[in-house]
Amino acid sequence: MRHPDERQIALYAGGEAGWGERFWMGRHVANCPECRRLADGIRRDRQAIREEAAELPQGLNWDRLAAEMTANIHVGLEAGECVGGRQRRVVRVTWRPALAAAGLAALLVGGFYLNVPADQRSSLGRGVVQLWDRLDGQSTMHAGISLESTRNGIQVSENGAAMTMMNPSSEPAVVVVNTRGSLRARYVDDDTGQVTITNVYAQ
Amino acid sequence: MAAVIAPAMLWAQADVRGSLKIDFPKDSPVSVISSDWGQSRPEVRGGAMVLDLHTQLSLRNSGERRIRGVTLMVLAQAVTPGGKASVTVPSLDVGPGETFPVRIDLRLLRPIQGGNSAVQVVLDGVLFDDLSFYGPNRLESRRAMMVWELEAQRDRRHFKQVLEQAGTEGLQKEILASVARIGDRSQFGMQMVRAGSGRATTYEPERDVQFAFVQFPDSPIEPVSGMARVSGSEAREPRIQVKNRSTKPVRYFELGWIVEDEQGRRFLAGSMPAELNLGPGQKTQVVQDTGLRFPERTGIKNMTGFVNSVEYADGRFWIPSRAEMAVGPLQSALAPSAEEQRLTQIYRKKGLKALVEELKKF
Repeated sequence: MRHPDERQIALYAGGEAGWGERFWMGRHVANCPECRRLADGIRRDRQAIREEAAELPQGLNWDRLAAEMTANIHVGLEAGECVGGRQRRVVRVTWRPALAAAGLAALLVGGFYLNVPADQRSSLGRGVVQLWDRLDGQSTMHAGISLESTRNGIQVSENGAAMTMMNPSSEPAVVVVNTRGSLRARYVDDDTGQVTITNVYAQ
Repeated sequence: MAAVIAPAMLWAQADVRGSLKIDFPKDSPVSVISSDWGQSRPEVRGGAMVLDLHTQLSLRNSGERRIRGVTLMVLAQAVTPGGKASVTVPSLDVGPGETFPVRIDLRLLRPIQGGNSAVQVVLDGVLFDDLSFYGPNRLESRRAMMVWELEAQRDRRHFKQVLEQAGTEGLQKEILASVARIGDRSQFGMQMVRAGSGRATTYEPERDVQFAFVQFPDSPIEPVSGMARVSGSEAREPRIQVKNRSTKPVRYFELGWIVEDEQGRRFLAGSMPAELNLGPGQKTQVVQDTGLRFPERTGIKNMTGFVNSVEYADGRFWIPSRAEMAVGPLQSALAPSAEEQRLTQIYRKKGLKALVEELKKF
């Protein structure tokens, strides 16, 4: 008769053997007194160890134990503060999803831009250019604005709307273009006798 | 159509007085006493609404210094979103507590259904007799009013010298010469153009035209060379090389731009301001992406440049003397200064005696 080794008997005695092994070992131990004695011995030892571990040590001082545990918790907290904050987990960005997201965004923006009516599109474009120039620190003229002198005065106009600084004087005004984006007119007011200088700006 | 126009007219008539909002800072040395609306009125023209606003503001000097100039900024953002305007009255002499008028005459044109026509008037700056300044200065009005005030001081000094040396007859002769200059001066319609905008003509070849410069011996800035692209009645993208020949750094200068047409008529058409930081002896090139356009068939033949004003880094200014301005092409091309124009008007309206009294005030 082939006997199982001690490891198999210990697993069987502790109830930790697999289903098939437990069946086979059960039959063997029932018919083999030597192996049954070994298995019983192992069971008794386990029971004795379990009972001993369950008992409290002699003369245990609960107050002292509580004080030691509190002190250990404080020491642990202070040690944690010395170590510093928890390190953030670095998330690795892979290029393929990023490129796919960028492509999708470009497609959506392009589709939106192409579906906007032409006049609103040009207005949007001007706005973007202005914003870009402002961020870039440049002061450029508004692309849609026109400055000109007319027989009534000097005028700033845009998209069919206009503001004209009139010349109420009986004599023509002195008009000068400022190359930084403005138009200036100077005249003497007939009523007040004051020199009046008007400007229209495109920036 | 009538259903659209009638309510728009009614609304606009009710809105004329509410169209102008005057907004001065609480600590402003100038306060608004009253505003007279005169003949402000709305008018429908085709598919557009025209709103004429004529107001005379009565302002009081509520500070303690004498006022030499005031600039008001005019904003009509609902009509021209990117555009703004200003009204400046230089050559003032307003004492503390005194009042003075400022007229604002403007016309707004917009589509009938184009929203409201609200106009905002805000104070941009006040220049005092000690050349100190108050205001947000969003339009760089401090610099402009400072130059006009220095020109005014220069010209008043000149006429007072004439009065002292040649008496009232001499003064009259001088002022009549000024009246003649104003009358002889040519003025064309003008438009400002920018780089990249369409050219006025496609059949006129574009060419580079060199500037001729009038040099002033005591000017801190010396124009060395310059050119602009000229095509027919249009000149654009001026490029000027200048040198700081003074012993102090310069932070701003302005060049006058005189144009001579094919009939030989000369006039001051433009000014090229430049902000920079130019140390003594240094050279730099100033390039601007704008230009000017005249009516068709006003061919540009020659161009002349001269230094109109300079601001040193320490805030002091230089302007040319009257003697320097009275030579070469400048004499026929330049209009008299704002102050000379005002003094001339006093002579024309009130006579020689009133002019002498005016000069004695300063």
